Amino acid sequence: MRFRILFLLLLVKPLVLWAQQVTLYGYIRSGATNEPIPFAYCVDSAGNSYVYSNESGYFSLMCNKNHRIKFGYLGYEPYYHSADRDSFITIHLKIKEIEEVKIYRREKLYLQTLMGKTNISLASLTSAPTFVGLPDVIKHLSYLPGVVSGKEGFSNLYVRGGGRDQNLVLIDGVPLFSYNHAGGLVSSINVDGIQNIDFYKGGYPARFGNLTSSVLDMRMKEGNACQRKYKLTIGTLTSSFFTEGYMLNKTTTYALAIRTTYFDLLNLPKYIKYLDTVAYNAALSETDGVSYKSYNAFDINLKVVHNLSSRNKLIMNFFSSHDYYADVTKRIYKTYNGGYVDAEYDFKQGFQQANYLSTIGIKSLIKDRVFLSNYVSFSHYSNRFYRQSYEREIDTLQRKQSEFSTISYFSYKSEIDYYPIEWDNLKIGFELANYRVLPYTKSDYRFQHTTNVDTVVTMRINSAYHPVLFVENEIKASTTLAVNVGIRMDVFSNGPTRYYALEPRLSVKKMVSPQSSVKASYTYNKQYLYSVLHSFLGLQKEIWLLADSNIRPVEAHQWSLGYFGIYHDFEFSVETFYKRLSNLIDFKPANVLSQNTVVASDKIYTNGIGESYGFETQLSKDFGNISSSLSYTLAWSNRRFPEINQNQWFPFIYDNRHVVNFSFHTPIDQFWSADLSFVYMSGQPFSLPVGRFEGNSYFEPYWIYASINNYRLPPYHRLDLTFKRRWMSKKKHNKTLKLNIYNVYNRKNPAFATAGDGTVNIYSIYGIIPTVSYEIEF
Amino acid sequence: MKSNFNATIISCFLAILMLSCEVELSHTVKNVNLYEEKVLVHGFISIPEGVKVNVQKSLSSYHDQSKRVQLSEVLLYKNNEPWINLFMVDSCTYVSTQNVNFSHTDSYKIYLKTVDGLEITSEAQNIPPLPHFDTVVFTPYAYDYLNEIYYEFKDVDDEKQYYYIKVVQYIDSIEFNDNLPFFSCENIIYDTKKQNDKFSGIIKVPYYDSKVNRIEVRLYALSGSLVKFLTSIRENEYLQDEAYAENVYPIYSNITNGFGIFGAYAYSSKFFTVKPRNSKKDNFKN
Repeated sequence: MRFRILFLLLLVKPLVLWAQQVTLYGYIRSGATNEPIPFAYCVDSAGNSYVYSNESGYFSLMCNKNHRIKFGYLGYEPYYHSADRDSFITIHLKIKEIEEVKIYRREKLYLQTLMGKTNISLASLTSAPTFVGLPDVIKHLSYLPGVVSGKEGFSNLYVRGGGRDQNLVLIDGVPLFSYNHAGGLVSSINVDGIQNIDFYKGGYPARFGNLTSSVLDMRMKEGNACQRKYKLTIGTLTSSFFTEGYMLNKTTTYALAIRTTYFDLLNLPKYIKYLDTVAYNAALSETDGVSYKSYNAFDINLKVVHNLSSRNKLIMNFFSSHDYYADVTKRIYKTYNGGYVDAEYDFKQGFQQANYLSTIGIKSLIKDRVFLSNYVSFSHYSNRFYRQSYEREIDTLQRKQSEFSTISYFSYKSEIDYYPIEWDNLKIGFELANYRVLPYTKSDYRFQHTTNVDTVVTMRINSAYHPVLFVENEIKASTTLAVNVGIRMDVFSNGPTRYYALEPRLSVKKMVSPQSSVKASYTYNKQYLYSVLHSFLGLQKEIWLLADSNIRPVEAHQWSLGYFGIYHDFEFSVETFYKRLSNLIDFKPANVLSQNTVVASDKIYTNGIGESYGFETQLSKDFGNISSSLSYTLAWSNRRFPEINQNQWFPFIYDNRHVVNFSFHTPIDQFWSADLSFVYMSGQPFSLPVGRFEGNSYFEPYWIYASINNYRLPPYHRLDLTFKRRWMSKKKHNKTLKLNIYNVYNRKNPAFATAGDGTVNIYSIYGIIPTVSYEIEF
Repeated sequence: MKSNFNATIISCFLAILMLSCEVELSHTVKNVNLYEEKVLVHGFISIPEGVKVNVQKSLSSYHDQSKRVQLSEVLLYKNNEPWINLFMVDSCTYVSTQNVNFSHTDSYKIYLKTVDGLEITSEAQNIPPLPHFDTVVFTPYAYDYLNEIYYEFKDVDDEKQYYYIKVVQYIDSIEFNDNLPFFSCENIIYDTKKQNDKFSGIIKVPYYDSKVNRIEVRLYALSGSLVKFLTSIRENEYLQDEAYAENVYPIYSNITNGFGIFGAYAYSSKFFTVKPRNSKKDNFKN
C-alpha cells in the first residue's frame, strides 16, 4: 500500500510541478537596432534556472509560474518579465546610457558548458592596442592563453601547438581559406561588420568539422532595423567605411563594411617619376634605372537580411578581399659587342591574391521551439605570383614565369535547432560539400632570338565530396551537471579513395559551488584539407591539398580538464590539456616542384605525429569601469616525421614555453580612456648547424644539423598603448580619436634569424610604431 | 586642465612619431658555437666505376681546414657480409680495385672503423638496373653558342626509378672540368615525366672551352637515397635564404655514427666527336 502511495506521488509530483511551471520562449533583440542579441541571459533567480539565447537571439526557459524573469546582456539595461503563462515574447533591451559601451567580459566561463570556448568582446577588440592601429581579430586572439600568432607582425593562428592550417575560420558558417592581407601582416576581416565572435580552442561541438586545432566562428551584423548609421574611419595606412540600415518598409536590413589601404601613396613620387617621360629617360641612364613598388589591398563585406514573414528570414552574405603587389624596374645601359651598343632591361614581379565568399539561406521558425536553416554557400581563394623580364643585349631574351594555386568550396547545409524543454538544445544537421583544389601550377615561357621554350608544371586538380551528418545535444542533467555531447559522421570521397569518420565530442560541466565549476572535455577530429606555406619574395604563399590515397587525413585527439570560477570578484580559470596529432604532412620547398612532378604526394613528407600538452591560467577583474586581465601559459609542442630529423622528436616552430599576457583598460576622464597590453613569450626554436662540409668534386658545401630547432632565440616581449578620446560634435556625431603606440619601449624583438659562421644573425623589423586614426559615426 | 591634458597627450604622441620615423632593419649577432665533430662520408657504388668513398671530419666554420680521419678498417660489405677492403688513393679517398665485378642483384654497404674505435656504417644500397638510350641526336650550335641534345630512353624497371643525364666534355681524351656539381637536383628526371612508357627531351649545353673535341652523353639511374640527399641539399639551401621559412630541413644522411651519403648509380654512354664551328649545321645521331 505504501509503495502504491509512493508510486502515485512520484507520478503525480512531476504533474503537480509541471502544472506550476510555465514556458517562456521568443527573441531577445536590441532596442536600438532590432538586431537579435546572441547569448543574452534569461534568469529565474528565484527558481535558480537560467538559459542563454542562441545565435538568432532565440531563447526558451521553463520556470515557476508568476516568477519574475530577468533578461539582460552586458551593455544593456536589464528587463524584467513576469511569467504568468506559457507565452511567446520578444524582448527589446535598452542600451545603457554611457559614452562607451563597456563590454570587456562576456559570459562567465564557469557557467558555460563548452570547454575551451571564449566569446570575444567587440569593445575590447576595437579598443585594445593594435599593430599599425588596425583592429585585428586574429592578432587579438593571441592575447588568449594557448594562442600565438606566429612570427612578429603576422596574423596567423597557432593554437595549443596546432598548425596554421588546422584552424577553421568561418564567416556566417562558411569557411574562409585565407584570412590575411599583405602576406599575413593584417587580417582581411573588417571588425566593423562583425556582430559576434566565438573562439573554440578545445571541446568543439559536433557542428564543426574538418579541423584539428581551433574554430573561429564569426557572425556578421544583420543591419539596423531602426535607423541608418554610418561610420568612417581614417587611419595612418588604411581607411574603412561602414553603414547599416533598413529598406523596403523595414522588412530588409543591410550592413556593409569596406576597407582599403593606401600604401601606394607612399610610392606616389616614384610612380610619377616613372610616368614622367623626361625624368624617365634621364633616370634610365642611371645605374639603377627607374623603379617603383606598388601595393594595394581592400576587403568588403555585405550582408542583407530580408524578413519574408514573422517566422522566416532570407539571409545573404558576400565577402571579398584582394591584394595586389608589383615591383617594376627598367634600365638602359651600354654593353660591348664589337663596339658599345644600348642594352635594355625591363623587369616586373609581384603577386595577386583574392578571396570570395558568399552564402544565401533561409532561417525559419517552423514550429514553436524548432528552427530550420537551409544554406547554399561558396568560398574561393586563389593566389598568383609572377615574374616577367625582357632583356635586350646582343640577343633578346624574354621570360614570363608565374605560379598559381586555387581552392574552391561549394556546399548545401541544412540544420534543425530544437529546444525541447527537458533537453535544452538539440541540433541535427546535414551538409554536402564539394572541394576543388588546384594545388600548384607553374608556367615558364622563354623566348630567345627565334626560339620559344615553354614549360608548364602542374599538379593535378583534385575534387572531393564531403557529406556530413551531425547530432549535438546540450543537456542540463541537474542544477549542477550539464553535458554537451555530440557525434559527427562523415565520408570524404576523393576519386576512388574514401575516408570514413565517426567523431565523438563531449564536454561536461559540474558546478562544485554556486560560483565555480569543474569541466572536462574530449574531442576526436579528422581534417581532410591541408595548407602548406611556401616562402616567395619574402611573402608567404599558401598551397592547398586534399586528402587522397597517399595523403591520409590528419587526426586529433584532445583531452582537457579545468577549474573555473569567481573568487572575491576575480574571475579565474585553470586548465590543462593534452593533444595528439597523427598523419601530419610537411611540404618540400616549391623549387623542387620544378622537377616536373604532378603528384602532390611525391613532394611532401607524410606520417608525421605531433604532441602538445600544457597548463593555461587566466585571471581577470573589473573595478568599476577599469578592467584587467592576466594570463599565463606553460606548454610543450613537438613533432616527429620518419623522413625528417632521423625520425626523432623535435620542437614545433611555435613551441614557446612560457607565454604571459596582460591587458588593462581604464577611463582617464569623461573623454579620454587608455588601454595597455603587455606580452612576453619564451624564445622561439631555431635550427642551428653543428658543423660544415667543405664540399668536394661531387657535392657542394653544406651545413650539418644535428637536429631541427636545437637552439632558442631570445625571448619576445612588447608593451603597447592606446589612448582614445571620444566626444560628440554639435551635430550629434560621435567622434573618436585613437592614438596607438605599438612596442612602446622599442624592443628589437627577433623577427627571423639566419645561421652564419659560428654565429646567429637575429633580425628585428618592427620597432616603435605610432599610428593615429580618426573615426566619425553619424 | 582639460586642454593641458589634451595638449600633453598629443605632444607626446607627436614626439614619438618623429622619433620613430627612422626605419632600419636591426641586426644583432650572437656568437654561438654548437660545433660537434662528425665523420663525414660521401661515397658511391656504381657500374661501371666501382666504389669511391671520401671521408673527412666536419668543420666548425668557413675558415677551418678539413681534417683527415684516421681509419683502421675500410670495408665494403656485400649482402651483409664483409667482402673486400677499399684502398686509399689520397688522404681522404678510398676506392675499390678495378677488377671487381658488381651486380644489380646484390646489396652493398660500407663499414669504416676509426683508430679510436668508432664504427661507421652506411645503409645498404642496390645498384639500379643499367639504363640505355634508344636515341640520342647531337646538334652542335643549334642556338648560337648552345648545342642541342635530343634523347629518348625507356624505363628500365617497374619499380620507381630516378634518371639523370650528364654531358661530359673532353679535350683530347682528358675530361674537362666545368666546376659544376657532379649531380644537380634540378636535373633529376622522375618517372612521372614518362609518356607512353618512354622518356624524351632536349638538353642545351654550351661548350665549356673552344678546344673541346669530344662529347659523352651519359644516362644515369640513381638510387633513392642519393636522390633524397641531393634534394635535401637544394631544399636546405633554398630555405637558408628565406627569412620567413617555417622550418629548415636538414640534409638527408644514411650514415650511422657519422653523416653523409653512400649512394648508388649505374650509367651508359654515347660518344660524339665534335667538329669546329663551321660545320654547325651537321646533326649527329647515335
